[in-house]
Amino acid sequence: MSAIERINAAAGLIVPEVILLATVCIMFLVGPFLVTEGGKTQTGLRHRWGALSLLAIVSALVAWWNTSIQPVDLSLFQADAFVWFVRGTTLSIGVILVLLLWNQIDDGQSAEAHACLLAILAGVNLTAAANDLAILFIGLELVSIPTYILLFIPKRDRLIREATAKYFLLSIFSAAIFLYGVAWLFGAAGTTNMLGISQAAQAGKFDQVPGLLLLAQVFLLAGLGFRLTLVPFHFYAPDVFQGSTSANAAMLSFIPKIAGMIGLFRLLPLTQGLVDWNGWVPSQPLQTVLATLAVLTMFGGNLLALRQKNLHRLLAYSSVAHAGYMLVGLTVGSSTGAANGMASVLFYLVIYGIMTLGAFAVLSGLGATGNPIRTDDQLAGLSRTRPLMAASLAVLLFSLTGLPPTAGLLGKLFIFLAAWNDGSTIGYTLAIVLAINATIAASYYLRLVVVMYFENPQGEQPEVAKQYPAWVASAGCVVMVVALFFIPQGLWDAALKAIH
Amino acid sequence: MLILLLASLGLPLITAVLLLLFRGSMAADNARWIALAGALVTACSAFALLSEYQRLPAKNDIAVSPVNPGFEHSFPWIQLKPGTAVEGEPATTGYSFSLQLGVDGISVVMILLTALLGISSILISWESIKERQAEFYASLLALQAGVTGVFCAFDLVLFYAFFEITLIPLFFLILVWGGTERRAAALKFFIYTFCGSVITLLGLVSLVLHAANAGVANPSSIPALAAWLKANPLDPQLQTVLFLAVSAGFLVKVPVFPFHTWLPLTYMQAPIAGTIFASGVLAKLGVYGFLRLCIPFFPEACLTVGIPLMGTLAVIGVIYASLCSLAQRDIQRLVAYSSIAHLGFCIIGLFALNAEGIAGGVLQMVNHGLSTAALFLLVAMIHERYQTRNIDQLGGIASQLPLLSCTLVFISMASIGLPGLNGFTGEFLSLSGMFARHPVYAALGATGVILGAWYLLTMLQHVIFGPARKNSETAAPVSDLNLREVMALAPLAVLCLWIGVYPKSVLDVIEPDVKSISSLYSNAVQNDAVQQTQFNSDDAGVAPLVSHDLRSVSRVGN
Repeated sequence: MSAIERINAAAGLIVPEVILLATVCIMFLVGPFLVTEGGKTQTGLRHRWGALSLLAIVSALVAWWNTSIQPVDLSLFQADAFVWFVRGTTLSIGVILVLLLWNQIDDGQSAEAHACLLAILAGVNLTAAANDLAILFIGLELVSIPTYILLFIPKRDRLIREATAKYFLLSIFSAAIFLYGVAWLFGAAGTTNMLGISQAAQAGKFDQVPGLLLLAQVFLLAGLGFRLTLVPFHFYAPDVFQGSTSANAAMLSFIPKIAGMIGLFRLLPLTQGLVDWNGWVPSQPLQTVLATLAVLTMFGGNLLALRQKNLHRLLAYSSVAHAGYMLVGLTVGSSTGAANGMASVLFYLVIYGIMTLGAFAVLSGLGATGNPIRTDDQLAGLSRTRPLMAASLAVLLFSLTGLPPTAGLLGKLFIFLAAWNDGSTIGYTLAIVLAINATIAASYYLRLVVVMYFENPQGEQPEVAKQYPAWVASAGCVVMVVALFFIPQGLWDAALKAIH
Repeated sequence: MLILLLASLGLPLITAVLLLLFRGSMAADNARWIALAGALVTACSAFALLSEYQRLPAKNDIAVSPVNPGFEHSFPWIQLKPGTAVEGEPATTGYSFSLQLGVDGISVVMILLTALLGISSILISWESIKERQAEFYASLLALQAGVTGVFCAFDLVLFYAFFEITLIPLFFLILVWGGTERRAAALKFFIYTFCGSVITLLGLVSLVLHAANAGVANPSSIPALAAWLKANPLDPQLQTVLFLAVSAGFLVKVPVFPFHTWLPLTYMQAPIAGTIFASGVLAKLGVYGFLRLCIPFFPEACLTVGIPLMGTLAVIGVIYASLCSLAQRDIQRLVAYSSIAHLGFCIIGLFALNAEGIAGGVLQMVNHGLSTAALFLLVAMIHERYQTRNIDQLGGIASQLPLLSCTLVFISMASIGLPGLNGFTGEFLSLSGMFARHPVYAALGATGVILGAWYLLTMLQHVIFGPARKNSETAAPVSDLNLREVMALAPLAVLCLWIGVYPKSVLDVIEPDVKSISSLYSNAVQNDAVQQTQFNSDDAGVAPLVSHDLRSVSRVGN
């Protein structure tokens, strides 16, 4: 096979990402020409770039729908059912993210912001599609680097700059740790190709260097733990969320989580010499580490969220806690039996994305462009002034709590089933800790509902800003959250298929 | 049948959604008419459901499962495990959750009770709720739909989902339309009951998984699971653990002493319609949960742990709550505590674990729903007239409000358990069932009847018959019950009398299901040394007892 043929074959596996990245190039190249040197632009330019973003995502979705699932080989990319699932998730969630970003940026910077967002989406997909450690790392960096730019673009105040700098430094630090772990894995296997690593493991190479692999696992977990905001790698999250706009905070609450989860899904079984996850259960030391992290993350996130007044901080801690719930599913792995931990993680990831982004969508739909909703006092009396928004936020908060009739209940239920089905002490402990944490979480989500429905509106009400894209996004999220409670079958099947 | 069931379940919900959708475009007072219409149609469909249910052919598979709904329909929901083998994995039978709706004798009675209380609670809110009416009635109807859902859910996950859904509308009812401490009340109520039900969920999850791993195709279907557990009883130790876990949520919901501490605040702070629903049917969800899940699923644990634990807690609850009632100066608080006491009788009856005890428990569920709801209605009417509920400030109402006083006396008598009214039959059956099982609990529980008479009669004496108090004389002249209030009370009062003189009408409906549940325990009972010959009616069912009961009723009547 000639080099060109191989490149063509490889590109054939990543058509949706090629579409996204091509649009990114157009935006970066054309964008600057539409802005004068003084930074002035035609008003309403952001609508056009937003529409182009949506168009790109929709074309990518069409391309995604037409991709076929192919067996893993030694090429740079793979296209298994997991990639199919991740693509579908990222692109659909990407639509919500584009809608959120729509009015949160100035016309002059809209091209760059949308381009960064599309690059991030492509990066997530490439991370999943990578069949090589180097590609996987590039995919992760394709998520990180545009994120720095995206966070900095609004540059409205000092907080945003601080948030960006903090995220930038810590992210680079974590990338280095991650790369260090990858190096150990490479050292143990002698190749960067995933199938090659698995073959090396089957040939018995890993047994010669057991310590090396444990080091690799720990470093990989630490590096990805930063993205997943696992306690104790979560410290940046509240500050960065607080400093960012709602759209960026929404992006941060979902994209790094899915990217980190993909990394863990691909690499942790690989350190045990497996490329497919049928019956994969973390090895004993790894399971202990994961379980400890899960317990710490759930308790840390929920307890710290209890006293938060700033909504972005509260949602940041809530996202920490949800990462903990997902880690529970990963800890019990994909053991055969009545329930599957990894499938439940994937199911939860999608539900979590919808409900958290929905909450951020409501927040950005409430605030004016330059005057976002920041603290819980600003929600006071919302049920009188903006009943529909209040009801939407209430539904999403109930879903985050895990109450019916929302998909949040099913997400937690499946993780619960998986943990309990594990049958080990770790499984039971995790399920009980999850139950306790669900109750703790209920109190702070409910507090927001109480503020909206109990307290009287304070001061003068700002005029209702017409945030149509955010309204559409929040309405879509509410509908999805309720609909997925009644018809969860498709999503669950996709998640289950992605694991096999 | 399915249509009627869906109508009973869906009509309140549809009305609620309509109210919310057209909130802006209707005159403020129209909401209550729409809500009333919705509730009336729902009640009609519930009545039709009952009559259709009675026309169903008799069930004959009692031997297979202790729970067998006379009618059921299952919508596919989620197939967790594909039925076909996935490559690389041993072929498993698929397992799934489904939206399985159905009715049996017990649930059809409870659905009807819920529908009736729905009408009463709308009527009592007619004048008192002036703010955000559309939302208020929408929440009320959503609550009604949720409760109805629990009664007709025959899938564990669906049951749990409905059980939890009821929290949300009641939370809003308390939070938005409640009394001065509504914020604390709403949060306490929600968090407390949520804690309990999360533990229940843990128990249910492990039960479902146990069944699923043993190869049951639909492990969350209550009839299938009950049949499977009957054929393959669980290990006694596991049964005990699961029994305790599953009971947690129901103990809080009923509430059984010492998990009742959320109740007084909630009942005091909720708007009156919310209180009626909470006491009339929400509390029954706990009792119903015991009856539907714990008793059929864990027979051994019920016998070894259930009877002593629940018996003791229920007896303590009955006596403790009665004494608390005696000490209250606020009538509403008094009724709230009396509600705890009366629910103790339900629990005593259920955990007698024989046909008459369970029949008594179910009947007591209905009775308690009728009489407590009616008492709360009357308390609210008194409060509307005098702006006080304090016993010391009220007095001599009889001279001013003869009709209201008359009804209050009537309902109090029903609640006390005067023979000829409904309370008597339920308490009698419960206690006699328990007497056959464990005379001590029955004897101690019976003191609650005396205490009940004591506090209610004391209250009546002060409020109704005492000398007229000054402030009620100086207050603006008050008028007696108007048509709306009569309409709210009449169905409840009529049913109190009807069940009192002719309990067979209810007992006949519930009898087959009660028998199929108690058949699990009948062997154990026959071996029980404590069994008394005159109560040897386990196998004969409840019919002889009812006639015995009726004889005593007629004796008193003469």
